[in-house]
Amino acid sequence: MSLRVVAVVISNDQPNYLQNCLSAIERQSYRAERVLVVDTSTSEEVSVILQDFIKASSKHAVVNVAEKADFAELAALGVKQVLTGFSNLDDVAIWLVHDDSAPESHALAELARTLELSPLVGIASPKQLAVDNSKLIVQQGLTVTRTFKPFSIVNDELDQKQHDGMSDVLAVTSNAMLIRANLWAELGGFSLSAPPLAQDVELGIRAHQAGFRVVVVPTARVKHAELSIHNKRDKHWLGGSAKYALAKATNHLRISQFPLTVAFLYWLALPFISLIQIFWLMFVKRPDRIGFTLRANLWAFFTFRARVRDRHGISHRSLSNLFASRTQVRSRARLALEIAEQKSNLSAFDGSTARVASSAQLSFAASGGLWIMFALAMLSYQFFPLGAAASGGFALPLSDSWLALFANTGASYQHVGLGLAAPSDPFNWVLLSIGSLTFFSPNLAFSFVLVSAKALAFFGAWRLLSLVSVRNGIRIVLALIYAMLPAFTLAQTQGNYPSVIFSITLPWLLFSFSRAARVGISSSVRSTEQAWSWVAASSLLLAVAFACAPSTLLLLVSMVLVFAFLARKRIKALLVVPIPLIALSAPYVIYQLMGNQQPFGVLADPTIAFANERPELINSLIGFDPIISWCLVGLIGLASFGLLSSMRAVFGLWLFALLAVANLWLVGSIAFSFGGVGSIFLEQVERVYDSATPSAMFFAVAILLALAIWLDSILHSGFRKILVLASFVLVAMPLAYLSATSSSLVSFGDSRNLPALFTAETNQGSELRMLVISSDGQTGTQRFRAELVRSAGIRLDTISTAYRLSAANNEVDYSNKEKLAKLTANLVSANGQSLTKSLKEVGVGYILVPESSGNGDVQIALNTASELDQVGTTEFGQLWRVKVTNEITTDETKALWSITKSIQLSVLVGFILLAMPTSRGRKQRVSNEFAEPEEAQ
Amino acid sequence: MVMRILKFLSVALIATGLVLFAKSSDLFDTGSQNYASYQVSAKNLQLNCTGPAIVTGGSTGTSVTGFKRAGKTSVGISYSAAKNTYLSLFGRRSIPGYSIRQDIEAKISTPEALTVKDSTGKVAQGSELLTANQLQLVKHKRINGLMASPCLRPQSEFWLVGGSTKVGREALLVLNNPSLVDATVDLEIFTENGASHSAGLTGIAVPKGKTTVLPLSSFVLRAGSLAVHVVSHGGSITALIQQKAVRGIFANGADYIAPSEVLTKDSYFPSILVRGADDTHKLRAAGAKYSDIQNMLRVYVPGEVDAKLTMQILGTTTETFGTVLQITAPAGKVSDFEIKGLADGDYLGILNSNVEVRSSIRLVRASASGDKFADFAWLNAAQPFTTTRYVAVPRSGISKLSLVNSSNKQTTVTLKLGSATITRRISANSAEVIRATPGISIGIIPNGAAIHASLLVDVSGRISVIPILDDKNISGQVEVSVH
Repeated sequence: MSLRVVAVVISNDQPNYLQNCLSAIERQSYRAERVLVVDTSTSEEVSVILQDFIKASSKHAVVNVAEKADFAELAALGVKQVLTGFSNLDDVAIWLVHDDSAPESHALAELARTLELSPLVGIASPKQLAVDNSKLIVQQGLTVTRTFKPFSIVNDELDQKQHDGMSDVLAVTSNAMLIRANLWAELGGFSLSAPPLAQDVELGIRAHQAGFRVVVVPTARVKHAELSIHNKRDKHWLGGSAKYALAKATNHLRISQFPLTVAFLYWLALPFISLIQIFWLMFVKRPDRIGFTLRANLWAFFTFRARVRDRHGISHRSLSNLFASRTQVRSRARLALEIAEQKSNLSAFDGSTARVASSAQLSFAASGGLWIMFALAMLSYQFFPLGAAASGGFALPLSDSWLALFANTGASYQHVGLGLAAPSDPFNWVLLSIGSLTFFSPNLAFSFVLVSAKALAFFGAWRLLSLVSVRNGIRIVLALIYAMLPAFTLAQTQGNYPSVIFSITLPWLLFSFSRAARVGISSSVRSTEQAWSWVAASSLLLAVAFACAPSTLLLLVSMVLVFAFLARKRIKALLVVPIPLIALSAPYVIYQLMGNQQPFGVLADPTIAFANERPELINSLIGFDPIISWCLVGLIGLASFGLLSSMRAVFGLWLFALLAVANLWLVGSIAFSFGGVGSIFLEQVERVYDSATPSAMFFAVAILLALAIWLDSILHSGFRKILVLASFVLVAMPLAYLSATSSSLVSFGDSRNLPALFTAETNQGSELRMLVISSDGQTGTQRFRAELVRSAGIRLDTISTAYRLSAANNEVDYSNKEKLAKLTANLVSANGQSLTKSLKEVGVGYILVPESSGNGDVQIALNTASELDQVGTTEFGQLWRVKVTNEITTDETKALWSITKSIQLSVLVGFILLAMPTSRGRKQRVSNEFAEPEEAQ
Repeated sequence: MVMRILKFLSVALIATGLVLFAKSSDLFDTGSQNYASYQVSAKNLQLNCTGPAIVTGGSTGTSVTGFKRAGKTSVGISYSAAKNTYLSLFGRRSIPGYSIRQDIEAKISTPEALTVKDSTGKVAQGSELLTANQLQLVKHKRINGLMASPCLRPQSEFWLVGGSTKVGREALLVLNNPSLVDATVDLEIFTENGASHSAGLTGIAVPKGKTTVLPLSSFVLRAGSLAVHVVSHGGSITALIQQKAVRGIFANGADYIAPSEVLTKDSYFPSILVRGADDTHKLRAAGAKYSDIQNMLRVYVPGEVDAKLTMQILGTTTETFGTVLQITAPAGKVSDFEIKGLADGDYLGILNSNVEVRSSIRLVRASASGDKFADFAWLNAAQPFTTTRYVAVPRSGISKLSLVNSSNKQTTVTLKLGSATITRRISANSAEVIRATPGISIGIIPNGAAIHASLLVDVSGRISVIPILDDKNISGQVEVSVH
């Protein structure tokens, strides 16, 4: 019996390819009885080609389809047309050909021979070769992984006949597939409800179910451009991008092929799976896949019935040997990784702005960096945490439990003072991150920040300087100067955690931005995954920098714009950089703008209202000590010589330094209101100002980078060494002396900063509040301050800038404010008025009057109040307990979550996962699951 | 190269411009913490008179615990008799308020309290409502001198700058607790050697309704210069130092040291009325026992920065010429500086300091002939005030009210003396001395500029100074800022 072959060519607006395809079909040694072209093109060129095609032979026919239809529909239509007139289909086979393919002359003959030789073979497919390289196999047989993800058995491999022994496969691509007509009729062709990339797999599985074999015939060779897979066709062809089509295909196959219960559970769990996939994709540094994966999951979730229609009750047990093995999947992933790395390296070699170092750079450890870090930690001996928590100056302890710390973070109701429905400071996310390192005792990790601050800042500065200089001496000396600058030391001694953390973060921020933008003398970015890691790290550090020092907003925005310009070729990836910053800060910023109506409140430091003087430009930059000031002036003068060199970057860095000085002026021009949580224990002042340290550190980092570039460019090594040595002796050493001898306001002790009785009661779950009263001014004209302390206490994470600035906003209404003020007025006047009702209304169970000049009269007034029992003197002042505490109830319901907070946390976790460096092994494992084998269509 | 030089110059120019001209000021302000006023009723105003002079040594003069009162002391009271109020006069009788000012004199033999009871709780408190002082000319073999002090509102904290525990000098700290709550008192004592770290300075019990008398020599023996900080916990108290001098075997000179005012850089001392300067000089030359008969400035400098002081003693008339001292007082210590060369006349003192200090002046008056005596008075820096204050004038002796205008502009002061009203003009940085009518209180009404005032009382040549205070409890409009 001789097999009668009819060919169906599916054409869609590819005139050049179509011409080749039709010519190739004409050249076949085994002639097809009929050749039908199903055309959906709108191109005139295609029409001309097809007219010539029809004229060439009576066996040729064309069906034009004006409506948009997918491949399965076109194939069904074509087959139906081409088989018209055949009474017996047993000896007929259909050869489906894509217009972007060109079968070699013996391809059909080889395929037909296979079908003739083996009646059990229902479908035969040729080896698919690259159009421009006939030695490259682009595909040879399809299968699925154990989780029904489509898998191309051979993908972009050089043809060394290593796969010529291959025969039976689970499925084959529809291109150049030869299928028995009766099998086609039995199966009904491709599934119309399956997405395009699942149709051929699904057909293959059904063919097996029908008792036929599906084979690959390596001796049959077809060149295939795979236009759909390479996104070179109209997106309607696949219903979106190739990746999206593949994700849809995976979901379809899972729902249609999994056992019913599993399929149903899979469908139910799709939202949860989506969430996991997002985090996983972040972790494996493929955030670009999140969009289409989510879309595919949504598509599957809402078209469940259509997926279920393709269920045919097939048992896959007999087919399991045709599924992709673990080894195949693993080797494919490794191959994909290597190809990606090769591409990245080639790209970096070709067009990167990065300049490969001319000489080998010493690693940080090899350059003695660890010893210097140790020395710097020793220099900060005053901050060695001899107690669990730091206090004094700006410093306050964190909440004792991680849950409390978490509750005080993000955009949920703030249980501080009078209470406020406003987002917490974005800085709380930084506190949460640090506290989470020792989640069992958040204060533990936090208490080490000050002692390690200089060491970490040095490390960061060293890494940053390594981007502009390969000379170890320059890097070490300038990094040392950065770590010991007067502005930094001042923030450290004042316990100004936001400024200290900002100063540590800044060099790392610039370093990671440089890496992400591939700026600098060397780049270690070797893969897409690494590039994503740096982008994510930049994003997180940018958010940290803004959270710590909102006053540097202008500088941060300028910095991002500069890097965006430098990395304009990779601007797409850098667009994600502001996402964590926006997610963490937007609710707070919106509240300051809309709620408090304080546009400048956005720039307020996230600290207690500790009385700090207005920053003066000169002192902020070079400190107060006259000798050290002159040393630093000398250093700045030295850096200015770089402007006379040929290094273009120096001028840019100087402009940035000047911008930092301008920002410093702006910082000194914004007066913030005093008050807020914990202010009752602070010296009363009219106004407080942002710390000058962040802007000063910005200035310093720009100057030091400019200096490093210039020093590095000096060719005369002797002169260069003299300058570096002079910088060390005249600047670094005096700074070290200053660092070691500066007196600190910070002390370490236990984390309790309220009377033990109150703390003990709140630890037992009591929601009683404590009223703290303090007097200011002279007897007779004194004024009183009152602060309501809630059970959360006065902790760094309970400090709310939104709350502080809302106190100056008359528009904000606090129901208890008036009651509390009247209660305070009556208490201090000791007029004998009954206060029980007022105390109950505001939920006050304790009253504390700090020990300070002027408060003695208040203490004595409280002794006369019959509603109070004097507890006694505590280390924080005189304490009274309200007699009727058992009758006091409060509505202190703490919500750990809010929708906004969930979004913030998700973004944060996602970017942390994206930023986390992953080992090579992990990358492979990752790719096993989610790698995209380039299954051909 | 030209471009590089231009870049260099442009950067240098911008940097210089920023540093020199970009001075920060409050261009943008996020508002300030709001204080809101609340009307509250006040606690009844109570003034506590410390009672007659205390004689140590018991009946034999050798007891270390026996404190006896010497006779009775006169209390001068000025009560406005505002409507809805009545004055409880030492718990013995009540004087109802019928809107006519009452000047009363009474005698007490123990510490006693005056209370104005206000049924509405809304009557404005202060010296206009009630003021009182006590005056006693003591002529006891163990204490001799004119002793005057204001009757004080019980409080929690006092600073007493004055006194000495040198040989022949006795300083008694008199702590009265008129409240219904026991008080515990902590002391800080500063001398010419700095802070004292003696045992027993804390936890001193002053039971409710009782008086505790402490010889300061038990804490700081033979200290020439004293400043005492008294802090009460529990109940409110009054505190005074009773200082006496024994010259040879005779007591000669005594006074109370009243609480000092707040820390200030600029202190004003009215009532430096110098009389018998020649006699003082003669006595001082006569022997060591009179060596301390010299007008003297005492300064306590808290903190860690030495005070650079300028003390100007200015005459109030064209006939009197003062003196100027340029001195430095060490931080953390109490320093005395003699004010020499003052002839008889009326003066005012102005003390300027670069840091905030507490100060007082010891004024001496002596007679080298007849009834040979040497008395002294401790004069605190006077409070500035711009609202009406009253002072009760003792019925005995000569009382002179000194008024100082500390402003740079001439001002006028209205004085209410019984039904009479007079206005006096006071030049800038100058003083006026007015002789007061005995037994008739004086109302001092400044007209704009802040006034400092005190009343010097002279009984038989002995002197004492009564500060013009304005005691009031927290009442009326109380300003509260809620955080």
